Parts: sequence; C-alpha cells; structure tokens
Amino acid sequence: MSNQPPPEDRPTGPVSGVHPEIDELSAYAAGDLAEDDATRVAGHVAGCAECTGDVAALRAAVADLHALPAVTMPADVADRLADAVRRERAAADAIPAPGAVSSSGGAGRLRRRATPWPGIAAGLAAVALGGAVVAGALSGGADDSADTTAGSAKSEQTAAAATSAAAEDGGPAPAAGSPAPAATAAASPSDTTTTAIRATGTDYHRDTARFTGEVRAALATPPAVDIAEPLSAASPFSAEERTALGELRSGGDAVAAELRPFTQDAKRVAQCVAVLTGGDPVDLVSIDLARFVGRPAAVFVFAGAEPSTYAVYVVRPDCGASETAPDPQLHYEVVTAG
Amino acid sequence: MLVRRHRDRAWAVALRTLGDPSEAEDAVQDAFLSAFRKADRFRGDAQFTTWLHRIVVNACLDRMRRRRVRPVAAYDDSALDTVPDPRDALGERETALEVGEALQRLTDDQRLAIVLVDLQGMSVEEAAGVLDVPVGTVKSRCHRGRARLAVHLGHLRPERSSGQSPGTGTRASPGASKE
Repeated sequence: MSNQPPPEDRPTGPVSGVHPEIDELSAYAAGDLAEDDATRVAGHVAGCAECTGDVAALRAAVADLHALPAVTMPADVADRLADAVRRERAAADAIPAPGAVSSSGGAGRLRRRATPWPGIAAGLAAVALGGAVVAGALSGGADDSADTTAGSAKSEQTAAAATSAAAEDGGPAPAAGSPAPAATAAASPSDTTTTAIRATGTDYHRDTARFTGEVRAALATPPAVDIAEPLSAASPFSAEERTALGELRSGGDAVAAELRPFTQDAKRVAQCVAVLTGGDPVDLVSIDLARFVGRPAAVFVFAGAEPSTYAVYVVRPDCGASETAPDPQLHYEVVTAG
Repeated sequence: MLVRRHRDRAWAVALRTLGDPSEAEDAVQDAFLSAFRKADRFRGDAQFTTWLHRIVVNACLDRMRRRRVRPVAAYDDSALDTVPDPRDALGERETALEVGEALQRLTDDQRLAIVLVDLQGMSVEEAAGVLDVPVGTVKSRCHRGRARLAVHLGHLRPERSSGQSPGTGTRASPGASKE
C-alpha cells in the first residue's frame, strides 16, 4: 500500500507540494485510509485543484461500476447448465464411485465437530435446475446470512482456516438419491480426542440396511489402537501407536496388504482424510481396515451432522492416488448410531 | 428466488471477470460441476456464498490462465505505462470505453477484486476470503484497478494512473506501484 507518509524534507507550501499517489487518493475517496493518513490527504486535497479533480474522477469511476446493470443468467445458458448438472447427477447415480477429487488439499488438521454435508449436492442441483427443491443449506443461512457472517472469513488466514471458522446454520435437506440427514443440529456431542483404528475384517455390503448393521457392529468392536488427534501429515504416529499398529499388522490376514500403508504412515491417513473432507476440520471417529464387496477397503467413519449419526466413507486402499481410479470413494452412507 | 440468486451471482462474476458470454458459460458450468462433485463429501462449514464464489473464481482463473497462453495477453501495468491507449489520451467521454470493456483492461487480479467488491457488493474481508489473499491486498488491487478504470473511462488523465504527474507537483513516492 502507499500509506507511507511523504518524505519529511519536501518543502510544504500553503498547498502541500506532494501529491498523494493515485491509489492513495482512491483509498481516501473510499474512506479506506487510517485516520492520520486521511487527515494528511484531506489537507492536501483541500488546497489542490488537481487532486480534487482526481478524487472526483475516481469517484466517478466507482459510480460507473455501481451503475452497471445487474446481470441475470440468460435462459438458454441456464438451460444448458441445468442439462450439464443433470447429466452429472445421472452419472453419479449410475456409478457408485462418482466424481473427481481434489487431492491438493493437503492434510487438514482434524478437530471436533464433523458435519459432512451430503445435502449440498442436491442443493447445487437445485441451484442449477432452478427447481422447487431448495436444500436447507441454501435456503437457511446460506444466502441471507452471508452478509452478516462474512466476518468469519478473516483476512490473512488460509482458505482452510477461514472456512472452518463458522458453524453452518443451514442444514442439509433430504433429496432424492442423497442419504442426507434431515436437519443440522448442534455439533456432534462426540468428545473423543482419538481416532479408533481397527481391522475387523468385515466384508461391508452396499445394501443400506446391511451396511448400517456392519458399521454399528464394527464400531462396537474394541479398537486395536486409538490414535491421538490431531492427526496430520506433520505428526507421525507415536512409538506406542506404531507398536499397536504393528500388532494389528501382524495379526494374520485381517489387514490386506494393500491397506497396510494406513497402519504405517500417519501422513497417509491424514492425506486421505484431507481428500475426503477437503481439508476441513472433522471428527474422525474410526477407521476400519476391512473389505467392501470382497475387495480390500478402508472404512472412514466421521461424526455426522446430527447427533448420533455417522458419515461413513468407504475408500479404496490407495485413496484415489492411482491414475486409473482417481476417486477414492467406493461407497458413502449416513448411518445412525445403533 | 434464492436458487435463482445464486445462479445469477455466479453468472455475474464470470461474465464481468471474463468479459465474454461463451467463456463465462463454460466457466460457470465448470464451477457448478466441480461444486457438485465435491459437495457431497465436503463439509458445510464454509460459508456457502463464499464457498460458491471461490469455486466460480477458480474456474475463471483457470480460463484466464489458458487465455494468457495465447498471444492476446492480458493488459498489464507496464503496457499501460508505456503505451497509453490513444483513446484514453483524448480524455473525452465519447471516446471512453464502456465499463464492461474497461474492466477487461485491468489485470486479472485487479478485475477480480473489483468484480467482487464493487459489483458483487462484497466486503473487502469477504472478498479476501474468496480470493484467499490478505485484506490489504484486496484493497490495494481495488484502488489501483479503480484508478486505471478512471483513466479508461475518460475520467482521469492517463499519466496520473501511472504515478508520473506532469506539472508542478512532485510525486510522493514512485514505490507505490507495487501491489
């Protein structure tokens, strides 16, 4: 910024001889200057016809911007957008492991209060389709509270930090094809500070009822090891954790070879969580190194949006790292606690 | 309707940022499909409008980067400083650019900041969250961008925006052209 004061050795006449920089004048015109800078610039402008004209010019430019008519999406563009989203949704429904994943999120710090937000997919479809279904996420706080809660996105924070700041007051809404919980309540009461890692050897099924039972049964199984959070790429498993995980690994064929990296490398686990959550803070309750429809898979259980619910992701052993199967996700389900 | 509003906001950002309806349509489509794919496994913590804007902005940045590969490069500050647009030099309203066109003369960063703050009515703090830059950077981009707009729109003499004032006054400091 150009808020530095003018050099002291400049002669100051009746009108200060030093014109402020144009972007400083713009800041002045917008009321963006700190008080002493504003006073100095005001003092100059008051006696300087040139700068007075410049301030007027800058205000005219801003007025021109404000005078631009609001644009609305043309109907044909909206129709094509709706088609594209519809196709995407059809594809997502047809393939159990939909979509692409940004693996660039890095490892997020894991914290309490997971509220995975499956309802938003339906909400976005509604946005694009202009349909009657408005997900709670969109109608509740999403738009109208935007201007009042914007302060949560603080300046110098990273995007991840900024996005984790405010709890969402709009909840996911049930929608076709989405296993969203009906409403968002307060944060999950889960107060664990650890993530249970277990290897139940369960072969999970796609059928919702069976899957639910399998998840509940697995969660009732004593964990092989509780990993202390926060879990991050920067903090490796502790010696005790490594020992416990080593025993897990040597416990026969419960853990498929492909899944062993999850027991060896905290970074690997943290990265997979980041891929699933986009780096947002989550409450990771449990990881079960198991199978899904016969194939090795890791079952990540997060605290759900509602109390006593879990958001369960079944992921491939490589968590989407391979070129051929860039999506880590084999299955997703919201499960109520038994 | 809320739904309509979100769609129109995304459209406005893309259209004003890219300056071309067909590019804007591509960007909005990219953004919505990307949002759709990510949405079911992303948490709702991110304030929704900010989150959606960020995805739209990223889609626009993608397109601008691709565009920059072509020789029709973005207009940058140095171009303005050394070769003022002859139309600007006339300084007459009737030769001034349309606002939408003038926006395209800004750097991508300046344009995005101005689109979010001056056109979308975001607070500087919110725009900083969307753009993932410090608040001061957003302000700086807005002010420099407005100054250049004022020139392109015929309100301001071109030499004024480049930091070299003719005539009697001395400049405060040549260093202020940094962002």
